[in-house]
Amino acid sequence: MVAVVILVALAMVIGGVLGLAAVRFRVESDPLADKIDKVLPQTQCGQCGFPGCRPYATAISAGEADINQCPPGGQATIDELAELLGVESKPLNPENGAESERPTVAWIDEAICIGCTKCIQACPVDAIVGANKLMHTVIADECTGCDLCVEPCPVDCIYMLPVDELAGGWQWPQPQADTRSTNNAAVETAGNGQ
Amino acid sequence: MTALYGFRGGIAGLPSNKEGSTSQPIQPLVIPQRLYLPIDPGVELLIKPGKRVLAGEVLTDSNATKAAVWHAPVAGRFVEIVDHPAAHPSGRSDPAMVLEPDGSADQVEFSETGWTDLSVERLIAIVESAGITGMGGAGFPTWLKLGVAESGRLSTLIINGVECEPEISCDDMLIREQADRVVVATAKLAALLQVETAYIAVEDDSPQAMAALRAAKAGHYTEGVPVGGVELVELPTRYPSGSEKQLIENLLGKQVPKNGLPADLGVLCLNVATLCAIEDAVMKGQPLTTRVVTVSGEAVARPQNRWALFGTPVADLIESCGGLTAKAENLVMGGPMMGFALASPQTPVIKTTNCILAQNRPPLDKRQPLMPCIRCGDCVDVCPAGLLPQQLYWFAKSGEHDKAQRHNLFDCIECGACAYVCPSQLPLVHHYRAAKSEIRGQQAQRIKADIARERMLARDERLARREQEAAERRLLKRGGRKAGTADPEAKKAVTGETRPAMSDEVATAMDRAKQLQQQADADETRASIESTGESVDSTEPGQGANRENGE
Repeated sequence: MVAVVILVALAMVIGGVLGLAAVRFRVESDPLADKIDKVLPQTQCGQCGFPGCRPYATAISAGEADINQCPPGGQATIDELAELLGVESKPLNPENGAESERPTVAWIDEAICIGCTKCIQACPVDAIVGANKLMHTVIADECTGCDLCVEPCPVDCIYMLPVDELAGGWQWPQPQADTRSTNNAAVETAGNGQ
Repeated sequence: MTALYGFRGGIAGLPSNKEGSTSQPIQPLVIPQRLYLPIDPGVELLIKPGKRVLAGEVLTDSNATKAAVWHAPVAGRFVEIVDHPAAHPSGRSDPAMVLEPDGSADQVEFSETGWTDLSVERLIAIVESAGITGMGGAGFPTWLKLGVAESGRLSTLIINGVECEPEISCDDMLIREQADRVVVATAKLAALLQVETAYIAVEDDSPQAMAALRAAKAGHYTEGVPVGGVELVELPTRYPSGSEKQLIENLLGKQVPKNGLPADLGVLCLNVATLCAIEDAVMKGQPLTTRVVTVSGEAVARPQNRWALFGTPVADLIESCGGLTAKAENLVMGGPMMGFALASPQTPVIKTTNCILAQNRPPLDKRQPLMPCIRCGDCVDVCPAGLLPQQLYWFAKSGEHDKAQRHNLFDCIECGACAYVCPSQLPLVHHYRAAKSEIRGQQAQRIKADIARERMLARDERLARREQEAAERRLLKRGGRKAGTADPEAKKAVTGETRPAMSDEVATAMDRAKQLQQQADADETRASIESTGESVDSTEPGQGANRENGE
């Protein structure tokens, strides 16, 4: 009887302390949409069908969008999302566009630009500077390569150029013709050598 | 004699193959037809193509990028800018200045400073304007390295003459021929930087260099110069004892901290050739435009060390060494352990080019047959950084970057010792390099994404604010027309509220409208019989519209 009373009292005290602590030292948890947003490439291109990466992240977390709608992120982003959400990875939805080989950056032919500010309004990250009837130019470092400025330009003076490899960091290629971890692979590569 | 602390791992007894290139003195310059000087991205050219330049004239202004400036190595015409194969492992072509030497000895007037009355700040400025970068391998800007001296954290100066990689002997030969200069410059620099100890380190496989240094220290060349404080150290030959971190560990018994620099230990480490370049800049005001290059390898007719102008195509350099005896399978810039394969023999010599190798065997990453990793652990034994190369190999290959980083991938100095001893001939270092650059690329992307997210949020906020301001302005206008009372519900109408709260006036008006409506309905039913009640409705045309809105 005494034991039961002591245990119940203990349970109540500890429960109370824990309950208080839960309220008092509450850690602001990272909502799912934030986590998804972190994985997305932040190109803000809208190819997923949502006006930016954050809305797409919200839609995924609400179960309204699939994880394979982000062409700039490509397969790597889809895989990461699949791991984050605990679902099966899948190939990119071709309806949203194709994964680009190399990152691009917008470039304005300043000789042709008429200063209409249409591209400035279209840019999701404010990476274009200029004023009405004055030449515009792209801040290349801030440009996400989303393409959104290309279409509104009335004189077609915006081009998407591949990012300079040197500026963007040239990457050492993975050595090819490597063995796989099985012994058979050695035989295969030896066969290739002939 | 300084006691050595030694360092972990490494390989003793590599076939050094230096006999050929050290059998004759450093050969004089041969001026090629054309020089190709690379233009670093973001650098401004000070000279227009078509102009004549003098030897030593400054060609680039790199204030914006902090890259080293380039000087014209000889007098000639700056012909044009072309895309030319770059001295870079990618093998890509980059813009380069083309200089056609005209054979004259015209040069700009150099202003010498001398070691006396030289301040550290002045030295740093001289080194920067002479375009001096580390000539041992990595090419780190020397003026930035010297910047540590200004902060007063410096206690040790190490002059690195340890040429541990096989085949390379340019520093060895430079010491043999200019030992007195090396010793005096070390003493002067040590005095200027006020360091406690100064070392000149060489490997014991070059007794001639050591003998020359000893003679210089004792000899009549250095009369009047206090060189007594300069300690000459002979290191046992063991690859990679010339690597900066390993050299410091060997001499001082301290390890450079992770993600740190030698400066954190109060150490300044300079290559011998870099020291000579500093000496030239101080004593003669001469910018860095030449260096000694070792040309070696089985396919070279006469292996030798040779002075070369920056921008000299590798093909011309090899030609001046008797050309190739056979078609070289593999042209390497740098040594056999750490160098990279050149895509084109037209690639120019740059400031870090210490060696050109023409080999008869294919590069390591193309060698066959590759065998699987058997986890023999030989690579662990030789790794000077104390890493687990076989684990890093698995992680790098399978793209498990997290794990690779947890196994300290970025502490790898890419010395190639693991790949050298690997019984399966795996190109281990290539895997690490690929993984490193992939991780760096991802990190850069993440930073860029964060900036983009911030900018997107800032823009959204701005647009929302603007919308709100516009709405308020609209309201003010409308409010002015309706004389104040209509303001609150007009605001709600703008914000999209479906059922505006009614003011008393409106409520009574609505009631009246309803009554009229009911009356109208009653009239209609009567009208079906009497067809005279229409007149009541037509007196209040606004009522119908009001009702539609209400429902």
